[in-house]
Amino acid sequence: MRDVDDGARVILLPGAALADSDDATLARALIARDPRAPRVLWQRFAPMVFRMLRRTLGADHDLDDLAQEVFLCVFEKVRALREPKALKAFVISVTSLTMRHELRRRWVRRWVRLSGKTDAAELEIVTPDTDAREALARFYKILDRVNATDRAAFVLRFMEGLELTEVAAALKLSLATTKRRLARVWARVLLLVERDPVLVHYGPKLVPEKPPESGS
Amino acid sequence: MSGVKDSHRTLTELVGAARDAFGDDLTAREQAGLVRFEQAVARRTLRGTARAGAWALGFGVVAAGAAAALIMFQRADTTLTFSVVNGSVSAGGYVRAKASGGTELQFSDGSSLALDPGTSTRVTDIDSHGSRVLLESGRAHVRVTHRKAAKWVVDAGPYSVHVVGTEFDVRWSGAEEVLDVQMHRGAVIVRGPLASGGLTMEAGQHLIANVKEGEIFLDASPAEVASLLRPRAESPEPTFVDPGTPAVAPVAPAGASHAMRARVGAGRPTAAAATDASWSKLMAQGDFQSVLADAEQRGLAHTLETASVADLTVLADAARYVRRGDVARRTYLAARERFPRSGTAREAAFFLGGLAEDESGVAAAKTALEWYERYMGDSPRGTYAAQALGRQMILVHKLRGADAARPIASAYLSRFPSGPYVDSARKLLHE
Repeated sequence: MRDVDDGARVILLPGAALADSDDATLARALIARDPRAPRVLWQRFAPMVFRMLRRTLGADHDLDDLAQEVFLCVFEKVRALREPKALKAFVISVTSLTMRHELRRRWVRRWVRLSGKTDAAELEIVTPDTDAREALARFYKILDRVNATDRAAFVLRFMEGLELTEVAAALKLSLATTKRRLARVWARVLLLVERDPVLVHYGPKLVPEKPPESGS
Repeated sequence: MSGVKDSHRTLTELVGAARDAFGDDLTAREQAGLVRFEQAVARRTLRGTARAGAWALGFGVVAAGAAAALIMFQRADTTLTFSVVNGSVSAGGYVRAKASGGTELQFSDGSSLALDPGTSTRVTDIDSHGSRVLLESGRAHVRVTHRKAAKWVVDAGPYSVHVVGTEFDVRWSGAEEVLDVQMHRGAVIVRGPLASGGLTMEAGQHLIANVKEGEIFLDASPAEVASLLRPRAESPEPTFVDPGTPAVAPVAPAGASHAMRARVGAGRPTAAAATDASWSKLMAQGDFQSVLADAEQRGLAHTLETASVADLTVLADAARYVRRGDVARRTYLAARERFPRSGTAREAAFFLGGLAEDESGVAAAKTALEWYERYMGDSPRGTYAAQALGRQMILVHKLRGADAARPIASAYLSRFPSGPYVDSARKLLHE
C-alpha cells in the first residue's frame, strides 16, 4: 500500500498469481485445497473441455451439466494424480470418460426409446454454410453409429489432434489397442461416408492431400 | 482407387469442418458455469467438514492425541485452510452470510471471521502466514490468533486493515462509503484515503471514516460511541440490503474528534427476508427448482417488489441454472431498479448480456452488447470483467466487423493476458 497514491485501492484478485502458474503448481494448489484453485482450473481448462464435449456430442444444452461433472470430478480425484504436471492429461482423461458415459447413456435412452430425437437431431451446428450444416448433421449421425470408446478415440485423435500416446492415456487403453481402434473407427466412418448419398459428393475443394495419421 | 482417395478426402474435410464449427469460444452462459462450479466446490468442502466432524466425534480421544502430535510437528510454512460454517457462496464466489446469522469463516490457525447477517466477504489470498479477506459489504467480527510473523489484512472498500494478533469489528458500507472499525484487543493499522500513512488503532478505540465527506474519526471513548451505534447492530436488515436507508451517517462538527452522532436505519423488514435462509439452503442443496417454485407460489411480481437484494440474487441464480431466462431477466431488472448501487445490480448487467445472447438474431446481439458495455462501464474491475470484455469483443466483431473489434482485442490482451478470450483476441489481431 505504501507504493501507491493516496486513496488508491489495491485488492488482490483471486488467484492473480496462481492464474499465471504452470499446470503442476495448479495441481498442487488443487490438492492442497487452495480456495483460489477451482477458479483458475475452470478458467484454464473450460474452453478445452467445452470444445471436446461439443465436438463429441454437439452443442446441446446438456453440455453445461457435463462440464460441471468434469470439473467436479477433477476437483474430487485430483489427489490421485501422481504427476502434478500431467494435470492437462488428467482433465482430458476425465472429459473422455464423461463423454463416453454420456454417449452410452444416450445410446440406452435411444434404445429404450425414451427419447424420440436422435443425437444428430439434437445437434446445434453453428455455421452459416447450409451445405456444411447439412454435411455436419449427417456426419454426426454417422458418428452416432460408432460405439462410445471408438467415437471418443476418433474425436481425440482426428479433431483434437492428440498424439497416439495421449489418446491411449485418456481412454486408458494400450497403445496397440488404441492404434487398432483408430484404424477400425476410421475405416468404419469412411465406409459410412461412402454410403451416404450426400456426403460422398461433399465439396472436395478444401481437402488436404493426405488423410490424417490414424497411427495404423 | 480414386474413389477411395476421394472418400478419405471427404472424411478429412468433414473432420476439419467439425473442428472449425466447434472452437474454443465459450458462450456467456458457459462462462457463468464457473459460479456454479465454485458453489458446488463450496458445498463439497462444507460436506467434507461435516463428515470430518462426525469422524472426530467418533474418535475423539485418538483425534485429540493426533491433533496434539500434529501441532507439535507441524511445519511453520503450512498453508492455512478455512471452512465456511452456516453460510453460502453466491454469484461471484462471495461468501454470503445467512439472514439467520451464525455465519463464520474458520481458519486452520484458529482465527475466525463472524459475519453479521447479509454480510458478503471473499478470501482473496491465503498462505502460511495468514490471509487477505475482502469485506465487500456488511460487518464482521474478526479474531486473529497471535502467531509469529502472522500477516492478516482485511480490505474494506478503499481501506486496508493490517492485523497481527487481535480482535475487532469491521464494517464497510459501499453505498455510504463508510468504514467502521471497533477495536477489542491488540492493535491494527488502517490505511486508505485520509490515512495513507497508516493510522494505528489500539484496544478500545473506535474509528469511523467517511470517504464521501472526507472525514475520519478516531474516538478514545469507545463505550460512548458504541452506545450510540448499538441500535444499528440490532437492525433486522443489513445495511447493504437497502442503500436508500443508510445505517450510519456520521455528522461531525469540524475539528471535534469526539463528537459523533448516528442516524439509525428504519430497519424495515422485507416480505422475503424469511425466505433468505431457506432459499440459501435450497441453493446449497442444488435444489434450484424449489427456489423458483417458492417464488412463483408467493407471486413472482410480489417477490420481485419486496424481496431483499440477497433473495433476488439467489432467485436470479436459481432461474439461470434451471434455464428460466424469463424469470432470471425479470429478477435482474428488478435488482437493478430497486438496488441500483448494489453489487448484484452491477453483476446483473453481465448476466442480462448473457441472457440476451441466449436468444438469436441481431437485435438480441445488440442488446447483449449494450449490457456488456454497461457492465464494463459500471464495474471495469468487476468479477466478470474478463468475460464481459471478451464477449464485447466477440459481439462487436460479429456486428461491426473485425476493424471495429481490434481495439477491444488489444485492450483485452493488455488487461487480461491470461483471460479466457486471449486466443480469440490474438486471432482477431492477426486476421
